[in-house]
Amino acid sequence: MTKKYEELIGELKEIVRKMEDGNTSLDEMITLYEQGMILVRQCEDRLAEAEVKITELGRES
Amino acid sequence: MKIIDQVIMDQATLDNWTKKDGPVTLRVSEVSRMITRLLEDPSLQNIWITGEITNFKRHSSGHLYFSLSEQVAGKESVVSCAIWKSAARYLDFTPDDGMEVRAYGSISHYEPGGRYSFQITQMRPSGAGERALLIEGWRREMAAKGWFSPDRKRIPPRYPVRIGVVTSSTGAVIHDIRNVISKRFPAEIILSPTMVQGASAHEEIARAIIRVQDMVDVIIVGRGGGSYEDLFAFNHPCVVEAIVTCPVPVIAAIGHEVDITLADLAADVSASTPSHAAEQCVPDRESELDALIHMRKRMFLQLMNRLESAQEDLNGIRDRLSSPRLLREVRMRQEALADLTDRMERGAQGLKDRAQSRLAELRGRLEGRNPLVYLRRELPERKNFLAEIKGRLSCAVQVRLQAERAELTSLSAILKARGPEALFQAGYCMVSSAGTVIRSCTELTPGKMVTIRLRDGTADAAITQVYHDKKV
Repeated sequence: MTKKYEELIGELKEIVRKMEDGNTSLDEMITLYEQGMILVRQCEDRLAEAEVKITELGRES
Repeated sequence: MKIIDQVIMDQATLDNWTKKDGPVTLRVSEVSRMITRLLEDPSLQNIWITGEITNFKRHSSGHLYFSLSEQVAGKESVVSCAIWKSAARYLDFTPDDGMEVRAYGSISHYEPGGRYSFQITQMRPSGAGERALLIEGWRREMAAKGWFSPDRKRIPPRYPVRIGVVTSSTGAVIHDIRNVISKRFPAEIILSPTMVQGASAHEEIARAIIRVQDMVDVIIVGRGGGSYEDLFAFNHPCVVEAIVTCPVPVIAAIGHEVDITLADLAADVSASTPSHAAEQCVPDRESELDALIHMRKRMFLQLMNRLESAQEDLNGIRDRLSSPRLLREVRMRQEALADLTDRMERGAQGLKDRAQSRLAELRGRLEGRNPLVYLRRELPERKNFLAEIKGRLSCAVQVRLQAERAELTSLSAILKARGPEALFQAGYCMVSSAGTVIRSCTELTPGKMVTIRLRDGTADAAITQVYHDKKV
């Protein structure tokens, strides 16, 4: 199952937080940046899904 | 046609009318004026009307607009009313929907709008409306159960995946919600259709909520604007209970902004309109994209900063490792070392000098006190002095001895010549008693034992008689 937008955003925020905490080595930083950019792209793709899916339930079920 | 006032008819119409025999064609202004005349009938002027206030609205200008309504045998009658700001100021209560009132005023026709209304100059309450009473009763019960408590309100999820919408499947509400959501954020809408007004609407609304609640992250319960009566179902306890017991947060959007139903009060969020509810339900795509751009910038900036600081570290290390710098460093250290050695030596020399002079001084002082030296210096002198004394002494003794010896010889000669020896030789004797020489007869008494010394010995004798030469 694909991750929810909320989960993606949460992971992204955590990565930004880690990058800004000041104790990260350069190697870690590069890895985090790459992960972060992937997440940003995934979020943007998710937002680009313009079509709203609408389902109507039957009156009685 | 008898009631048409000939005076207000235009000449043209009048001409027409006289010419033709068929149905009359009137101009709008004529009809409008006729209606005004009709409504100005004294039976509709300065009258009292009783009824229930519905659709009450307070305009920003200060004028009040509402309807007075009444239900008789299931048939509803409504009269539009207005109270101008100047009259509203003198009302001694705050009118609201559901209030039963008595109002005094006149029916008036508003020609530009083609509407008539009852223009009220005085109004007083005449008991709460039956419906309002019912709702108030429900409201109290619900409040007592804590259904409206702020503590109970849940915050809807920020990024809902599926949104349940409980509303009519044909109205504008679902259309508006769909439009707003599709513009803002990709989410799935599940419509749980229901009728929103009518006798059994409340039951159906509650069932529609329950039907969708386990499939979605948040529910919007919506209905477009309508009269107070139209929205009545949303006050029903059965709808409110479905909202309160719903496992996911509920956003209520019932009627227009001014309409407040008990469902609005109990919902986790109350939105003014269905579009507003949809806006509150999902984040805005644009602001999300902005936030993503912002985060991307922050990450990039952090990475650049980190790279820069790594580069700086590297430069610093390289700089410290460079040979000129190292040599310079070594030279500096050597100089420092040399300087230090010099200072130490100078310091040590000074110490040594001081110690030596002190030592010499001490030695001098010690020498000064050495008895050997003293003796060595003093002894010959003393010896000489002693020798001298001794010489002088022995010399003096010799002289004296010789003198004494010479005197002794002469004295012994004298003694020999003049001493008792000679006297004893000559026949004199010496009488003594108990060691004492007797020189006088007075020392003698008859019977006293005496010793007589003669030249060649002694003899003891006893005195028999004493004879003095002279009478004593």
